[in-house]
Amino acid sequence: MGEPHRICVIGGGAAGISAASMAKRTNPDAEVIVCTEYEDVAYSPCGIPYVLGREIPDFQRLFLAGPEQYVEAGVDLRRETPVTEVDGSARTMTAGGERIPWDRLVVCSGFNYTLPDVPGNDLEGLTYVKNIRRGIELNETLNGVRKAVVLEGTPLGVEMLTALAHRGIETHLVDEGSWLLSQVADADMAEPVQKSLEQLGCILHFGTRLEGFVGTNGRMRAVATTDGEIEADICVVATHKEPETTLARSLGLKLGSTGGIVVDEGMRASMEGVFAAGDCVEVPQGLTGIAVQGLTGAHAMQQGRVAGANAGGGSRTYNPVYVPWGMIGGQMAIGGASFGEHLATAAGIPFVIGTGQGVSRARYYPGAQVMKVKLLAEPGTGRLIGGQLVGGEGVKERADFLAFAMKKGSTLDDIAWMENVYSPPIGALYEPLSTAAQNGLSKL
Amino acid sequence: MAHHDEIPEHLREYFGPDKVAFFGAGGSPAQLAPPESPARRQGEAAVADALAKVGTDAPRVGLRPVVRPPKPSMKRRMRMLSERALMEDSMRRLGRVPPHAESGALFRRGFVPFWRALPWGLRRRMLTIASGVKGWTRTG
Repeated sequence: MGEPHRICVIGGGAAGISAASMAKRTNPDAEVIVCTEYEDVAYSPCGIPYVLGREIPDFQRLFLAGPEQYVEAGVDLRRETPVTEVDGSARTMTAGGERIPWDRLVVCSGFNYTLPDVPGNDLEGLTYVKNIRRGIELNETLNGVRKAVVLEGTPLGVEMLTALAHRGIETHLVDEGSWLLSQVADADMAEPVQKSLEQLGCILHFGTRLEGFVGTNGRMRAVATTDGEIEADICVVATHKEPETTLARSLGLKLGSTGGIVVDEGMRASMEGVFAAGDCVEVPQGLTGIAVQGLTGAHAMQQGRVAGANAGGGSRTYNPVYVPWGMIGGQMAIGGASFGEHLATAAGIPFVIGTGQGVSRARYYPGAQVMKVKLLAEPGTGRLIGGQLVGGEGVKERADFLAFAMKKGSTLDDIAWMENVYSPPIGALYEPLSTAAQNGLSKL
Repeated sequence: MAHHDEIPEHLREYFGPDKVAFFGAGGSPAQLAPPESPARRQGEAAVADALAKVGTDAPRVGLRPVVRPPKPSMKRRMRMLSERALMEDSMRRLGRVPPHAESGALFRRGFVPFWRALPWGLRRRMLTIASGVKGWTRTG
């Protein structure tokens, strides 16, 4: 295949926009077209819960660029132009009724929430946090909401619990799992976050199954669960991020065990000239090679850059992921990377644990916050396989550090004897990660 | 929170002691894009358009970003069922509240004990075969 003349990108989210920008930068002579069904690009959907929670004053602030900036960069950005059909053999796609030929195609079709398969799932009042304009409308709706249910304690679910509680709304969580964030976090690490949410007034129902939505005249008035009926004006559906693969399936692209599009290290899909990136693809977890999907906006952006560069004729590689994560729930920060005790137990991965507690600043400095750390390592070798942190400031940076340390094959011994910054306002003498690693060494 | 008094009065509405943004104390207020910048114009237009649609039947994109997942392949179905059973088993071991069990008896009473009894080397190989990504060179 020769130099690509026309590169088409499906989707205007983090992956799609970064793919288009990188494709144009790699190959300025190529015509780059981005089609998105939505009105807006280049805003932060991850900021929506914080406007709803009134931490950020308004939605304008979430916009990072305007469409003109892409035009100036030479990208043909077509908003409100859904791609309805893709023909792999003719190498064309149909967008907004127009048939557009492509030499390279980048599929960044994102995700949808999984529909709860229960009666009443079409009632008005079921709410989804994804698109900014619908978020702006939801912000107005919330002014009249007294009671709300959040379905599932996923990262978005936790952010929405916090946001709704800040609005003074009586907020319930309904979750089949045994604790908050049970798809990623450990029970003991999630507990301080749960307590903080309860202090904010949230009512948490764990081990509780959704049985249906109850409504009158097409409008939801309650959520039926195994724990009884919960009266609510709205239900925020924060279920699993199901990869959107309708077009990928019609193209015949190979899907993997998560339902996401299978890609190689260059984000190439199973058809020549077709790339994919973002929430619609699956990539390997770094330690085990297990396929994972539905990661963060940062992952989507980096995947898009690799896909775009390669679609433009470049040669970039995306690495397996160690998935650093973190968020605020109530007033606590929680985060981690790769495996926690729960996920490792579920997968049957052998591990030893090192736990520790420290402070974010010198003990005597005002504002010092307690941080609890749990590290997991391979028995014998001590190779780090995961870690989680909960507490105050500094969780995000340590989660990033842990992911990088794992990528480089670091051991508990490395972390136990690591150097650390000691400056009273920003760091204590004893680094909490180091303390946890020291404690873990004796168990190897 | 120790630093509440240090937050300027005009910011307390958004940075109050019960607010997430207060977390870490201080910092700059939420920034707007510069006046007349494309981001500012787009933001203002989006807000105006969305507010105009509140309470109307105007057509909207992205109102229900929700799907019933497509019929899973055998590989995906097996992964979903086994993953669910193993996660539930782990939650029963580590949690105070039992999860709401959804996995069937075959997976709960058959697959989970079988999986736990396998040596780690074999489990690892099975994980890679069943759920691993092939062809990447940098996996650990």
